[in-house]
Amino acid sequence: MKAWAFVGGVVVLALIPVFVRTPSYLDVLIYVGIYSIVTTGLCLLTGYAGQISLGQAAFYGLGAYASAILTVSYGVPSSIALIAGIILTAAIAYGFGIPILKLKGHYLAMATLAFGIITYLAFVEFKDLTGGPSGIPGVPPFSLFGFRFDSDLKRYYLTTGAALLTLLVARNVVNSRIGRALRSIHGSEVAAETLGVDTARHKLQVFALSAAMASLAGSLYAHHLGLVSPAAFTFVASVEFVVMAAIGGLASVWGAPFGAAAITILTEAIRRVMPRLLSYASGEHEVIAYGIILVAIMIFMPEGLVSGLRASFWRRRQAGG
Amino acid sequence: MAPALLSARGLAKTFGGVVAVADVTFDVPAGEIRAIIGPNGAGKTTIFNLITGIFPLDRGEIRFKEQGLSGLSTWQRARLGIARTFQNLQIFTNMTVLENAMVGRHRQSRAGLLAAAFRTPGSRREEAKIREGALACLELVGLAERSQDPAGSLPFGQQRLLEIARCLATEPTLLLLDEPAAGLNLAETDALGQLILSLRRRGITILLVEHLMDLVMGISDSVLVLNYGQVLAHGSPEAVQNNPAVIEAYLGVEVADA
Repeated sequence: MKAWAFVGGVVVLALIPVFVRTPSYLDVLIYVGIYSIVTTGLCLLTGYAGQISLGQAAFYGLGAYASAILTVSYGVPSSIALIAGIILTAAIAYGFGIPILKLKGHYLAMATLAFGIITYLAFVEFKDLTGGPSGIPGVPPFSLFGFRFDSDLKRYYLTTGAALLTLLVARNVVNSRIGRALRSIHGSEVAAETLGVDTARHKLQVFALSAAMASLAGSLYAHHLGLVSPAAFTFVASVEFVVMAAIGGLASVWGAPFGAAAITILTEAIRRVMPRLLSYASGEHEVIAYGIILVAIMIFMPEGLVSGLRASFWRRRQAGG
Repeated sequence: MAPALLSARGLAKTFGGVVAVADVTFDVPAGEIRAIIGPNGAGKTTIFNLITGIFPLDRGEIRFKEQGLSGLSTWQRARLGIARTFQNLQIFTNMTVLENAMVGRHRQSRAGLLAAAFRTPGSRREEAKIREGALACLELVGLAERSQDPAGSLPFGQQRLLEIARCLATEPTLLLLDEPAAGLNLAETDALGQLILSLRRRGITILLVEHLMDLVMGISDSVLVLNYGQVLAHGSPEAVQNNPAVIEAYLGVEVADA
């Protein structure tokens, strides 16, 4: 991606709140930022290193709970809680990754899925620490150097800025020897090893990095909503992250924000539009519409939105002469 | 006499009930081009997999630069200076030609995840050197002008060369070539022979598994003949070609076919 495209994107994102005044729209955009952070990490893990995770919501949840518990129960400053959450989550991912990243393909998917479910149950059952099914209310807004992100507008800039920084970090990793090592693992693990790439260590590192990104997103989520409860960290949430990554396109980290935006906005749009189209529409009808659109995207743009749109853009240019 | 660069003692490997390598002992002195030949299933590729640590040994010992290799994983052996190509190509088709060669520079570079994530000045300098080194290796095999193409778009023969370039990028002491001429046409095979000879002039010791006898006999300093996982003969190309046991087991069959 060219520098001017990135700068242009930043300008557009900075100006969006000028035009989007409806509070509920701003709320959707905050979630786009939060989800795109998780999706960026997943894109590094799956798109580049070729490792599957169906448990990313667990790391997202660990970050959210770390921030909530440390700020609410222990009065720790939110920025320190966020960093502690990232370190803790990355360490858990690293430790858990040592045995499970020896697995490949479906077996790895199963192990991460199990990890996600176990973590969800831990959120529900460790009531003294997590508040059980009702969770932890009263999480204060995020604050940095005395500045409180206490409105949706401020939080929009916080989450969007964090998402952009995450993307830059991911882009740097991708364009480095580490990024090439990750792709070599995806391409041929045995060849990577014979060229001196410690594949086990690189897989662990990218797993921990993707977990750290999910944890960052979870902390921002906790401070935005002001409430953390297990319902947000189910298996379904993990699947949604995978869907966002796949829809955006796994071949490039730039797909992550587009996938997160497409799915978040689509979900919201269907929720608003369906009742107007069908007066009897219920939650099930929304799921059907959602499913049809996802299938259509995957049929017509199997490489994801970013490569799909880029390809059709070039075709039109060539057709136009 | 100087100790051998690679020394294999009593190698044995069984898969299920099938004996792939029964009892193989050989030395490879530094600076030699050593061919390993033998009928299909004689255990040639298995020996490569044992040297590179892709499979663990059942019995025996392999020493490289007088250091025992047992307990070292594949990537650690690569870092000692052992590189290999694959009979069934293992090109990274998800990368460009240049990026494939750049992975070979992994061993010579150290920037970690954090240095990469924040693009420290040190990591950027290193990145430029990685690119330079990889490009030099592509030039050596004649692939420099294809450097920006997707690796999977190369014709088969050039993919074989890319595997060699990728190995050279690791600056190996010992290079294992697993049937590098398979699928190449006559001109490409000649060029390959010249390339292998030029690599030896650069001080790289070469272990070559190959079926193409013209190539093997033309460039090898000595030839190791395997049959049923055991050493059948060892010597200069001429001596091996005139060895009655070899003619019966292997070359004789080829002559009869032709």
